[in-house]
Amino acid sequence: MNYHEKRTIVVSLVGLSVSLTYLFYAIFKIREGSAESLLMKFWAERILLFIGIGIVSVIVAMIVFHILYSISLAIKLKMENEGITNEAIQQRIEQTIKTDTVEDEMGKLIELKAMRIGFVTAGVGFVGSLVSLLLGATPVIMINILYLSFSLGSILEGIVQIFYYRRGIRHG
Amino acid sequence: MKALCKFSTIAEESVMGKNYEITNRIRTLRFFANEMSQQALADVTNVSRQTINAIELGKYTPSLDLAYKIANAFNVGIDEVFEYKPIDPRKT
Repeated sequence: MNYHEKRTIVVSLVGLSVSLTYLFYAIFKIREGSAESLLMKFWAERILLFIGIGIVSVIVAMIVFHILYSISLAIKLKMENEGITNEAIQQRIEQTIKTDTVEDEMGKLIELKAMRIGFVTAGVGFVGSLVSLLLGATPVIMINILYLSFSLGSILEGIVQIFYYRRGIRHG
Repeated sequence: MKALCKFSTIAEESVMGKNYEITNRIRTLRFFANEMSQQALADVTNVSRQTINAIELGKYTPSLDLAYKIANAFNVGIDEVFEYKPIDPRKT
């Protein structure tokens, strides 16, 4: 498993956790039926809050991931080359991270294809949210469908990226 | 003329039907280039090692730009690195 696959798994897992947390929170609030949960302003606040939590969580997860990735590389180098100096390890880690994190044409192509799936999912969610209004759902349900479809699109984007990294990709 | 038209249609269909594949000799060329590592080739062509590995395994078809860069890295023509040939039905 390469660097990009590992990074995508971490980002997708964080996205999934935040989305699931929001989903449970939303279900709980709607079932509770409190007066504030009927207001669109309340949901706008909550959704913005969860978007913020999502961004911060991804940043923190990326920092932790890079630290753990460097540690795992150092351990691997120590085990493979006994008697290697700490400076040499540091140099090798820097070199490996530099070459692994290169965003080349294959990465960009995979990202584009995955992004398309994400946009399609979000688009379908948007249409679904409008249909839910027509079917008599409240605007609160509509806004939640909208937010969750964007979250689902983001998670699917990650899954598609991993799929293409595993299976390979061709132009056209 | 009718027969010629038929032939060209068949050829076009087989191309559109993805009956052709792009194979490469990068592993062999690396061997003859003093066992050049994938990482060294990746550095020369400015892509990641994973991309070179994917190309070698036939999981990724590179752009024309990258294909030329790879050929230049071995000082050979592009046709010596990549080959566009019909898929052998016995292999599939």
